[in-house]
Amino acid sequence: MTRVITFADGFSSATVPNTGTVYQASYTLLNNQSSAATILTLDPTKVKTHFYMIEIERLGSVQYRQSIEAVLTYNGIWELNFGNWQGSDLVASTLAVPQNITLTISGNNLQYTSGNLSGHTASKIKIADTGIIA
Amino acid sequence: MSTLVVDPLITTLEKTFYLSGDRVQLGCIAPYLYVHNAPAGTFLVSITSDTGSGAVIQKTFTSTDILSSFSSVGNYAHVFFPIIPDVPCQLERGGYIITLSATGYTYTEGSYLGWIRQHENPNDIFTPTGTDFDNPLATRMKVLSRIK
Repeated sequence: MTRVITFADGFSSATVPNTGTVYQASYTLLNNQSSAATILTLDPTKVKTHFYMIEIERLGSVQYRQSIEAVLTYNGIWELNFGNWQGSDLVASTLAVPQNITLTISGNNLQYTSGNLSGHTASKIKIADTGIIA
Repeated sequence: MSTLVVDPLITTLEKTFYLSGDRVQLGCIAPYLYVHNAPAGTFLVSITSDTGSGAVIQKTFTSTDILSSFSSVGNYAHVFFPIIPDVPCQLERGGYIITLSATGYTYTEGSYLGWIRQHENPNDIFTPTGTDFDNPLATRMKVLSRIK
């Protein structure tokens, strides 16, 4: 995972540089993913709390973007909790689209399934992760 | 103080580039590498044509090779590490892929080799459309010129 390192003066050091919050580059979720697919495997010894931002963006003539926050916390097992969908769509009939994305936890694997996002085949679906290093 | 945006080496990291001019005599290729706690293993940088015609150059090194190039001893470092061809190497016009891989190496959060992305590069006049995490993996290339 791409991360930010703060290095003290110079190019070589005998002490550990400051490794900041681990960020994850955005993923692209596929349309019509009927069987659970693993997005990433979590390591509770490294990060016990993940904050996810999930964004669905439809490209093209109609501007559409909805996002949701999800929090993953580890208390012996992973617990997944969602916030509320935010955003807007100029076409009311498509407001149900975000409900076609389902996130689940299987062991240490964060997985997803997706329904038919017909009419949104030009969409970009992104998931970004900000974790707190244990 | 330096802020580095680092992609750790898990299995492989790749960067593509394209030469649009005449053929060049390669002096060295220098990926911007980050050494985190002297990881064990042997690392390989190879340059291949994007046509899949085989490696142009390949060279191995260790994290010790990188760390020992500094006057002060430490297990953490960041540097444009020069990969110098053992034999004269010319690159013709076209696309190439630089690949960083390893043998006898296992990524751990406590010890790894990383490739640093271009970040706050004062010579980069093109503003990335994404975040700094989308910036290219930083690399320099030196070419040899004839002395006239």
